[in-house]
Amino acid sequence: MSADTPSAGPPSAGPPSAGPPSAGSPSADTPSAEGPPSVEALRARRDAALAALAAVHDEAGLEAWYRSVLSPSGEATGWKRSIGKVPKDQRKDFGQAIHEATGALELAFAAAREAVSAAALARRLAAERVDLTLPPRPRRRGGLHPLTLARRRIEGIFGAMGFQVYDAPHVELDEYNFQLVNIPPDHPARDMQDTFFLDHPDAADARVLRTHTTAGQVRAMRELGPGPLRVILPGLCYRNEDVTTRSEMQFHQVEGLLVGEGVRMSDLKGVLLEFARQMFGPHQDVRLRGSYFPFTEPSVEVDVRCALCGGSGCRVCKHSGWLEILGAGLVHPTVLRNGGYDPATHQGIAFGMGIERVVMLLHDIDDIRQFFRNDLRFLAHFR
Amino acid sequence: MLVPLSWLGRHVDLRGLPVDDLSHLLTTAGVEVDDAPATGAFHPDAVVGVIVSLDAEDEGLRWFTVDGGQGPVTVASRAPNLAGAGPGDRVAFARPGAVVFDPADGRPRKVGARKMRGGTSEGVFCSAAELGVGDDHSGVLRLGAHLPAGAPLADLPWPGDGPADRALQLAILPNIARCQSVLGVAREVGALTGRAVHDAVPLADDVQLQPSAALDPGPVDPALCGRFGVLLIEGVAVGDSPAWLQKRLRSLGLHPVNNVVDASNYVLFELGQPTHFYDADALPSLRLGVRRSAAGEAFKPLVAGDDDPPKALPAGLPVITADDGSPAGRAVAQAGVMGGFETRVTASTTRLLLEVATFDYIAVRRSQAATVTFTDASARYSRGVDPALVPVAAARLVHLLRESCPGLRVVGSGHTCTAALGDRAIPLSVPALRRALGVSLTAAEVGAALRQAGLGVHPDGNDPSGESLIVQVPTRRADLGQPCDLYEEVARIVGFDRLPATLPAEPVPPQRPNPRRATRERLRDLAASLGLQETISYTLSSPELEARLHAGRAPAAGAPLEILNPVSHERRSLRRSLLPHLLDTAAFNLRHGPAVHAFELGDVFLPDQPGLHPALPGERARLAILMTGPVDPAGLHQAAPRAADAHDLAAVVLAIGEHLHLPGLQLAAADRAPLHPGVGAVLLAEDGAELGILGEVHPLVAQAFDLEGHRLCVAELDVDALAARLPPRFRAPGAPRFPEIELDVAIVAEDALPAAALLATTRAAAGPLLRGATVFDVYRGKPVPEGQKAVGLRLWLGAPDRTLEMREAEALREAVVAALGAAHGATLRA
Repeated sequence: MSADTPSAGPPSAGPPSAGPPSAGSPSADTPSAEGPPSVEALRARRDAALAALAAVHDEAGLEAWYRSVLSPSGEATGWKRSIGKVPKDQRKDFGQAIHEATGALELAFAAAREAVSAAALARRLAAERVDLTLPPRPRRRGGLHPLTLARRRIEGIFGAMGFQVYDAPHVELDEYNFQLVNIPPDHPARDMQDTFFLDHPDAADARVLRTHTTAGQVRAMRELGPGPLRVILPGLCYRNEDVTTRSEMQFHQVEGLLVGEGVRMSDLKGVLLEFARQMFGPHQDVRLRGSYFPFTEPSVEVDVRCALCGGSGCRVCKHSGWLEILGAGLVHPTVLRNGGYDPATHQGIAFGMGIERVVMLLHDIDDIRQFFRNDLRFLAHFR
Repeated sequence: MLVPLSWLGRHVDLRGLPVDDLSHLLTTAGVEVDDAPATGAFHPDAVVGVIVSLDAEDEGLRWFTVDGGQGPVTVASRAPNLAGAGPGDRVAFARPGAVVFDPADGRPRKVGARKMRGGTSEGVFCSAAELGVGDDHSGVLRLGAHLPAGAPLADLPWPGDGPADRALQLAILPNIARCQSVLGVAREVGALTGRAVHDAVPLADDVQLQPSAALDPGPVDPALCGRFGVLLIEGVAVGDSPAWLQKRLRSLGLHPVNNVVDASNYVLFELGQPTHFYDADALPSLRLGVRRSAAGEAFKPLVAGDDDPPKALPAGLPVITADDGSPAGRAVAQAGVMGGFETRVTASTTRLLLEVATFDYIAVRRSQAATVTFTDASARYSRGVDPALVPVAAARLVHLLRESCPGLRVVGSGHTCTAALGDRAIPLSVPALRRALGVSLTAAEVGAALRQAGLGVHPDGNDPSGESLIVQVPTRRADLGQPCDLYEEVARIVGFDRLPATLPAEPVPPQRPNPRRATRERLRDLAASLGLQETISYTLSSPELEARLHAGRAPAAGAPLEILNPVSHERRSLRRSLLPHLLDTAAFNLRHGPAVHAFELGDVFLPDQPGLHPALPGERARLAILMTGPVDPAGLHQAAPRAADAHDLAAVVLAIGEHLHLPGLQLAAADRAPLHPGVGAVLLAEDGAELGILGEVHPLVAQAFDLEGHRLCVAELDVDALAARLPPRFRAPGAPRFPEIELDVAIVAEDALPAAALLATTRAAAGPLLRGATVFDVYRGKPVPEGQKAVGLRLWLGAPDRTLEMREAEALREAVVAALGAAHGATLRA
């Protein structure tokens, strides 16, 4: 508070030197200079000091006020010293008045200090205001490929049913890709899969890029059999096909294989129903349709309710309400035998699905080429 | 295979069975109906068009405004019978999208809006032939004046057979070769619906395929041909087929040729039995045979042009020969695929030799593939044809030909047969079927289903329970060979809907750890958590692309594996590194944005590394990382973020190592493709094995990938080598209980000395009280002498059991300085 701040106290009640206590001349205004003060004068001085305090709005003013009023050299402290000059019979009343006045000043000071710091905090908070609706500060974020995310979900669902992952090679012998899964040389089923050859198919140990994850079935059976077997074989497969919005030269498959003494075709329906409900929603249903694969007999295509329209019919399901998601069947006796199982005592179910197709259905993607084009703008949707 | 419903309906009762239901029924039973196209007048876009006005006329081309039920449109036509046509006249109008028969070849063709001189015609006016309701193509079909615009033509009362009908388009899987004929599909519909099947067709009653000395074939290789019959037919007049037969062929999308060829085609589609007619007078003799072709053997197929030279056949294809006096005979047909040019039927042919045979399906498959000749006949032979059809087809053909050649005479026959013609018996245990399918069916239900499929079913007398059946399978069902085939047949006929959904009752096998896969998944998560986006690229690459990694250096050793039949030159070899495609990915994405921070984890294929089999390449997993551009995206808060450099990459690689708790990882400077020789390093394991490379891409490599001017940092790590070194467990000591002392050491050392060497010496000299050490400053320039650098090292020292005293720390610092001096000639910086 500066010396020229006008007094807030009533002019009539003021002592001769009524006005703001001046930090520069504390003793000039003290009553001691003029003999013992009266109680009334004391109260007037107190009111003047309170009025001065009421005009203080910052830390510096508070400090100045304190120095001139409550500090050891302040006016109120001076009152206590002047008590000796008061006639004995008035000392009690005067002392009481000093006590009351000092107490009131201290309380007022504490309140003022609190108000000033609250005001300072409010000013600071106002000054620090930030518009959080502004664009955020961008951070580099990584992410997984949609096919990895979907593959993991699929592996998780089957994993919970006891299916473990088994890995088989991409470059496979014709023997495993075809012959051991009941597709002998020149079998018409070879027309169903356009194969990338590394050697002429008639050569010894001819190699192909696996056309399906079924290629790993006999490897899994031979390595993990002849006891109960429950595996999935995820992996890239390759077909010598023109690349279009619906077909690619490579795609990911997940093969499932369950072999045991009491395995039934109905287990296939149950396992796949469980999968469909976890992958596509609790109200899912599956439908089996007759089909043909050399390595299963009976063979079926498995449809799920269209995830887009819920079965009422739409463009994606060609208005049938059903979407084909995988091929499956009972493992052919020849394949079981090649895997080291006795078809008289053991049966197996097998299924194979394309991960790209599942992701396309889940996210309404209409161009399979997106998956390998690696346009970061597309991949960013899946972070 | 197209199956017209009007034809199918002659052989199986389709009344009350809507097309969509029939399609669904066949599809769910494994005979996939791709489409049931409606053609001609049956198409919903074939409608009544009402002429609104004649707008222009130019050299016979007339422009009309027409109302086809969807508002007025402009249509152009040259039809002569539209001269004088005017407002209110009605014509047959195919809107865009309709499918009409092409009058030139009878094949279905889709109508579209067509740009012509003078404007765009939005649809066409159609003739009776185009609509399939007659043969007339001289003008467009004019319709009665009362008909409303847009009324479907299919709803009009048509005389005779009615409009060309709908047809089922079937996808033929290998196990339903029997459905490659109208009769086969009719039997299938009967089996699935229980409806009556009429599979008898009119036959000539005077035709018997009998052996005879005159016409019996000469040598027939039984491995190639199971049944071979010939008929010699005289009194033939080559001409047009009857109209009904031509129409049937058109409904299949075939173009009628003449009565002889048409009859052969008709039988092929009706019965599924291909046949071939020779001009008997063009054959060197009437004694045919079947053998394999000799290498380079000359043969001119009947589709060849007059002046075309004969083709040289590869060795081993089945050919039909005619005895020409030579030991092997002359090849007159590519058996099961195509007849010969010289012996083809011509307009002047009067004597026919008819060949009806069955051939080994593998031999025909190879033959059609070797000569790249795929015909309606080879499509059937390559999947197997029922040998029982041979005499039926012969009698059927003669019956059909007589309609156009009343004077036709069958004057002789020849026949040889080694194929089994009797039914096969398959024992079927009903309990085993129930177990396999998981469905409760009685023996009676199973028997009924199989009988409906046209099979014979008898109880096995040896089993009094009645639960064992003997199933008699005719030759036309070559797909049924063992009990599991019958399980499928039963399931198809009772419907897969009968199967309950059960969960496996089998015990879950023991679960085995898969550290290789676990490491891969962990690396993917780590890379993504460190700000990298996963990519997946093609396994197939090219040697040229791979070679770009070595720009400015000697080429890589060895060569990648190559595909014999690649889809393109750019995708013909198996990748040996993930980096080429990642660099391509960077080039692609840098067209759309300033930064690429990406990784791929996948397999590479190394021919010189062992695989699962001596013939198979080593398949090794790699983690490739690429970083280029701003470390964080620019924005309001940071207009120009710092660009990533090799130190950012090193941080990512080392963070991955730290997360995996791989002990003793080190980087060592190395000059490796595709890296900048001065900004490259190898990642070393504690045992000294190389785990991968990292650094900045060589400027020439960047240029080779069209990335000139970009600072690209890449790493490629050997995932399998990382996985092999994963510690099974790691120690986690508690947080230090006593404070540590931070001390700095400033030294001057040779500029070329790597920081790793200084830190290694520091660690060794400071011993177990060293909690950590790093380089916090590197300075070159005055007053540090040329060729030297000042390095600030910061040490954190502390004891596990007490507060370290400053004098101990000072002593350790002195020891470190002494060791740095001794090992590297480093001196304390003044």
